[in-house]
Amino acid sequence: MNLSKCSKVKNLFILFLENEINGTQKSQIETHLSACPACRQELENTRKLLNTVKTYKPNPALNPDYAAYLLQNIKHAAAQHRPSFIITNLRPFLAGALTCFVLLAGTYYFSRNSGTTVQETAVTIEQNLHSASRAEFRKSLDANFENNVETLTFETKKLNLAIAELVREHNALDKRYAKLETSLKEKQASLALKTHTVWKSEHAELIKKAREIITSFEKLKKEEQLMEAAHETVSFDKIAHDHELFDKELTAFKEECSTCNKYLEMAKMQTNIIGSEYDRLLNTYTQK
Amino acid sequence: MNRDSTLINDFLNGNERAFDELVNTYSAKSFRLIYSFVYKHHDAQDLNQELWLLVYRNLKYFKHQAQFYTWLYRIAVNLCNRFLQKNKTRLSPEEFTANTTVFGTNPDEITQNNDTMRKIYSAVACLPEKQRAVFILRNYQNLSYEEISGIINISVGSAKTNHCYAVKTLQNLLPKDVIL
Repeated sequence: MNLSKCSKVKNLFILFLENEINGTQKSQIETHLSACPACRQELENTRKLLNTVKTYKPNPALNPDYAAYLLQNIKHAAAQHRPSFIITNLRPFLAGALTCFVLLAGTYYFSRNSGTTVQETAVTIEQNLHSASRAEFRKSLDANFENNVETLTFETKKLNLAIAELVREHNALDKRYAKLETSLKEKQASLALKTHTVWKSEHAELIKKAREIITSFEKLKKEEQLMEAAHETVSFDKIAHDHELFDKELTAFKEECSTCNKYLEMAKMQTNIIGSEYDRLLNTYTQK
Repeated sequence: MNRDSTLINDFLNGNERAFDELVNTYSAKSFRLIYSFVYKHHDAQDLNQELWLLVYRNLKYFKHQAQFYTWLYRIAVNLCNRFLQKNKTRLSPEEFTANTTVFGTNPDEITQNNDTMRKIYSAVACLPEKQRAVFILRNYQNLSYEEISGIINISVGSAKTNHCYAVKTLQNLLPKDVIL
């Protein structure tokens, strides 16, 4: 059994069952299947899986009056959110009143702030006197944070590696593509090559996103260093609040990072499939 | 100009009945699509209502470059993905039984089919967002790869790769006794 050929054939099983591949590929798979019992079994398993999934298709019961009920709800909800007569007609007046309110509130806020600076400074001095408890407090928050940063640093390094690998594969493919493009002008090759720019732009988008994540993470790390320096003097509440915010951002980053890694993995798989297709075409034409 | 485009233009010119016609034609289909993502009758009804409210308010932004149902399904898929990101809790077997119409002629058969459906649903729910959307649109809505690529905004090749990857993952996730 030729393993490399088997894995290539297996990648096309679903498209083969759905009749979504061209005649040449179809006959190649059929030839392979006639000689490989393992692949025949695997194809049968895939066929059974697709049949099972379609047999157990979700089939929710729906009331015959559902559309009427839905329409009634939509129109009711739409009417509720429509601006009232007063708001529509008094909008210019309301805008003026709102501006006045904002100005007054701003003036009040700043005058209040300047009055309490002395009080706040006093609190900061008092907190600095308890520097031991501050250090402990910060340490307890920083441990979790540093752990998160470490994980993410590792994840972003993984992203960087995946990008580099994908770019390398792309370059190799581009060379094969250029070879094919210059030497082969037949219909089959031009069909395969048509999608080259499409998937390349998709992958470029993905790589761009991954790079954005890495850059944003680096930026966040710098912000964190600045924040840490500021935490020497600010209130405990502020320290806790800052850490909460950073934790949230790090959690979001983690999710983005793992999704991006998954997609990069898929992109690599797609690149491999395309690469083997190019190889096949190159072989065919070289023989010719 | 096809029927949907005429209805949309009529609605934008003030004919509310044209919108009713769109709801009559597509609301059950959009409900079934949403249901195959969330598997809860109540949530599917809420999301479908949110979907049609969005359509009601934003139909003026629909550019007639694609079919109306492609646009509608794209919003539905995005709503479902957002909903599933927020509500990561899975359905318990009891909830599943209460929410799903299961076929079968006797109680044993119904119980067994219910169990199989739950296993398939749990496996599909584990798929990554894009693979899950492609899988549902392809197998439960019987859409072509071209239609799917229009709905999810990916290339046809990417839709095929995502589907192949989804089926492979399901093969690993589903127990052997589930497959017919």
